[in-house]
Amino acid sequence: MALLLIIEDEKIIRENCKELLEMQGYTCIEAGDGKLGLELAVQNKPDAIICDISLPFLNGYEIKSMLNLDENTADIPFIFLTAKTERQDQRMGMELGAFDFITKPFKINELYKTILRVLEKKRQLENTINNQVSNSLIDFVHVAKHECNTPLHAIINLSQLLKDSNHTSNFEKIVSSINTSGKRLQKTLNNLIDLVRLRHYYEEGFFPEKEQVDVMMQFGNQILHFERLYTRKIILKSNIKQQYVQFYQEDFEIIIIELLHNAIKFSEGNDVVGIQISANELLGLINLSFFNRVSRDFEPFEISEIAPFKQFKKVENGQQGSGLGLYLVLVVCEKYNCRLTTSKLTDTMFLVEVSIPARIFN
Amino acid sequence: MSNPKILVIEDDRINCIIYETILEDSGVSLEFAYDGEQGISKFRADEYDLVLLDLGLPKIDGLTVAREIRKFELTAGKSRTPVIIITANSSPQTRQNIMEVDVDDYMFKPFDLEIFKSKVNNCLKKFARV
Repeated sequence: MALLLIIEDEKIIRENCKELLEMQGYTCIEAGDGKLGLELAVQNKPDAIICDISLPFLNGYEIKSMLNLDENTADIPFIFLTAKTERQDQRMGMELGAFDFITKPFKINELYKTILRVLEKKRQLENTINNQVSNSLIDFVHVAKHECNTPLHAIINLSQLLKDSNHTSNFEKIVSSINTSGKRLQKTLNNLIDLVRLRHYYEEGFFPEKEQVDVMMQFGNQILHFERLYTRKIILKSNIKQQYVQFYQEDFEIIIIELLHNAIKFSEGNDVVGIQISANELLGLINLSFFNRVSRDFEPFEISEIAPFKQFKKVENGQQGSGLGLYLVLVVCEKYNCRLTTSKLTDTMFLVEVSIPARIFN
Repeated sequence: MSNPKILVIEDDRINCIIYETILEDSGVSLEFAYDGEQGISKFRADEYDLVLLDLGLPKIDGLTVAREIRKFELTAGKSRTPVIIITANSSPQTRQNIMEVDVDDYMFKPFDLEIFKSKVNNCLKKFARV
């Protein structure tokens, strides 16, 4: 049963309320002054607080204001019990987030009804939060399972096949496939960790401190890495020499890595991938543009289509990934107020662009 | 009777290697189609004893391919070819989608090699062409 805290300096009212509410099955704790009331609220985190306004040491508004400062107590439903009926008083209480006001003298039925209402509302809110948490957990588990299953499937079954057979004409292919699948799995796991970090930690306020990230240096490093990994030529053009953006470095890397992956994945054959970095001093924007050649029938995807499960129309065979990487870019862009756009410049040229707000140095 | 012929519609080359290796000594011949469009046209052009079908395919998705296969059989007056869907996505939505297309079996990756072999054999036996 619900735990109620009654803070009231008039002993008769306090004890009466306690007795009557306990007869309704509630558990009650009581305080005769504001200081004790605040202490009991912090210690016990009751389901609701019924509080007088004029109290010794701390008045009702002061108690509510102090409870508001702590996230553990800010949401405890608060009912003011007062003899004062001035509108000004009530408004102040409402502004502080009080659930209701009961004016003394009151009928006990009025208090019962208010407490029932307050507890029902609290229950509904808790259900909504629980549902949201479990839904996002379910979403995450589905994404994780789907993303990991393909490379896991290859690693488990190919190694099993090697174990079972004394000879196979596919030996070389199998070994190299196990290696490739291991790398895919590693990338998927990193992406999933990034997804949790971006979607959940950040939303709960654990936003890391931003750093001055050197744009050109980051691109230089990643291009070198990608050219080696995919034996593809990546051409970088830029109208700036040095530029910094305020970013958590790992988040900036997500943009470069995923959009480069994307450009390589969607490009025709072994064509060159192009990157253009430009500064727009007037708008205070750094534009990162990723170009790649696509087939004529390639349909550019819309930003609104980007989702963790989404597999965009694959133009090339055997492309891996199901949109999680691109979704991470979208989440990073949302967190840093960046703009992500896609377009088809010509029949065969696809462009993905990120505009980042920045102080332009040039 | 000639060796059973299986059409594998799968865009991931690594998965193709898996099928090739599992069925290496089983006396079946495999043909590969690497996207949905190619899968449909190969199916229309030839006779197969079984189709192994991935869902996330380039150009035309696997569910559409399954529907096209059944439509073609109906209009061309061909006998039914068994289709097994194999996918890494086991979400409730995918399960629902699979239930709504007319296929003979389905498997989620990672699958057990022995179960895979027995499902393939069962389908081949059940639908063996005379």
